[in-house]
Amino acid sequence: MKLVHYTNRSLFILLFFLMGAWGLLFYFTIIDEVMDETDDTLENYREIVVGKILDDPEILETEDRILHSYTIRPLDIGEALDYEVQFYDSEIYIATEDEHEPVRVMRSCFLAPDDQFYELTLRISTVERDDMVRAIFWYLLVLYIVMLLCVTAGTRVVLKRVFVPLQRLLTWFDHVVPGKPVPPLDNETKIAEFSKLNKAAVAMSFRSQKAYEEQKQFIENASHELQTPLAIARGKLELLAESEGLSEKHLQDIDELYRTLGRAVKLNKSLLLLSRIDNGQYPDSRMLDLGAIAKETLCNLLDIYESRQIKASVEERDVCRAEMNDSLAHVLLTNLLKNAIVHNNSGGELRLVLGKNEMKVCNTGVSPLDAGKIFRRFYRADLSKKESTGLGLAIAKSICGLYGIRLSYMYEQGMHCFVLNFVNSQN
Amino acid sequence: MKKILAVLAAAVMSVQMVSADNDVVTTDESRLPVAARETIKKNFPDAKISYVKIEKDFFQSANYEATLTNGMEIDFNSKGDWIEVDCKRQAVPAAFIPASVKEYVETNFPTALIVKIERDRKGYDIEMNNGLDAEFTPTGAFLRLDD
Repeated sequence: MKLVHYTNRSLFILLFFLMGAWGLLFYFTIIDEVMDETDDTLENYREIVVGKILDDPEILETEDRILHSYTIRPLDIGEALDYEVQFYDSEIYIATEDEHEPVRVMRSCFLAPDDQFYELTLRISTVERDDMVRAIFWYLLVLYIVMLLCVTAGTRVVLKRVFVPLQRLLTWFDHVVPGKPVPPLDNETKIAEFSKLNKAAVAMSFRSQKAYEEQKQFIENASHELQTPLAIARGKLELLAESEGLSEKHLQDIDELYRTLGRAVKLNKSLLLLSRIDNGQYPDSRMLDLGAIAKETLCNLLDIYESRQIKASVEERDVCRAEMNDSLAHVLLTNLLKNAIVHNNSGGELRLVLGKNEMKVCNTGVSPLDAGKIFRRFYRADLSKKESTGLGLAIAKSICGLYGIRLSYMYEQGMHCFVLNFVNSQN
Repeated sequence: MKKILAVLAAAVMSVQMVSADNDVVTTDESRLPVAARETIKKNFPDAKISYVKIEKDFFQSANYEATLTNGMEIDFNSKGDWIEVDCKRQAVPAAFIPASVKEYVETNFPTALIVKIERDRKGYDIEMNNGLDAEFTPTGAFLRLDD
């Protein structure tokens, strides 16, 4: 979720409830006050009417026949004793208009000068009051919605403006690629935090770029410089093995040394290859039929590792083609297929599946591997295999990275599967 | 969210409760404080109470307004001390009027009757049947005259 949307949503929810709560509270308070006003008016009327009656008891015999605003009824002493004043809503029928009108009624009791208790019923029309309450409700509702919309839209605009520098910085980050020069960052901003972030991002990119270059250079140089001494040492060992007067034991030791040196040479070559791939020293690429290369490589490898008695099968669903460097394609496929043979059980199964934009290499395996580690340099799941350098999959990954091919690992139905996906590699 | 709603509901309820307790109007004179009833009996022996209005404020201290059948109105505080006596067009019984106030009225307005008297912390306030208002300090010293 985007920061702008997230912030906006949080604010919206907060305001929705806060303003809703405030609005409800306000509405109920106002309504209560309005209702109370009616009752207060009735009490005032009552005081006036009773005052007049106490002054002039003849009014007791009258009744308001025009507005039906009051009626007086004598009470028994029993009724009068525990009489409580009542307020309630009611309706009266107005004959002239032939309709019912809502009224608020107050009933109260008083003792007249003739020592008789009377009940005074007062009525007041609430048509205007009800209209007002309705108007207040709708005005508040509309105000609430409009205010909520305005505030939400307003914050949205403001937030969008505020986060423009961040957006530019993020776009810039997409263009920062290790091994390529750092692109210039044009992101003028008055906001101190973003300004600092810009500077830090640029400085960091330059630093990591430099470190990356130095490291690459170092590996390349080291590998390169190691080549000659390794070759000399191997040559000398060969000469030593041919000299006379060596016991069987010595010859065995020399053989051991020779093998170990061989491994060192392989490692060195792999490292050199890795750094060359990373340096992009294989520029020329063309459309290759990877299926054909894979099948050919598989044939050769099966011949070499005949002793392992691998049962290989090829499933060709479509022609698998991709544009890449010829020798890198060979290295990639050799590494994957050799991996599938060497790390297979003796007499195990190997399956090669070729699809339009996909290639899958599966081999029998006991338990799933750690998908997060197998593509790391020098990671070896099985340390007992001495001939393994732990660089094969790292090289494969580097080659895939160079061409935007997705290389993933999964374990399904008792097989380790490495999947090459070429969908993104065409652009 | 539930908390917010609960607080809101409580707030609405409290507002309604505060404003909802309407004044009580009753003919039951036993709801007046004892002191108030005695004051009425002593000063208006012939009169009967038509009704009593009890006003309660926020702090639940009540104000009593007793209206007699002859139209007179006497207000009491929650302790039953009188705070206002309104005799409409008749004279307020002498027991309610401090001596210095009575003296002032007799000296300055010999024909006038005191028809209404109020008292509070600031002093006395009387109304005469000639339409004039006079104010006095709590000790009964004359302050000013209004019409």
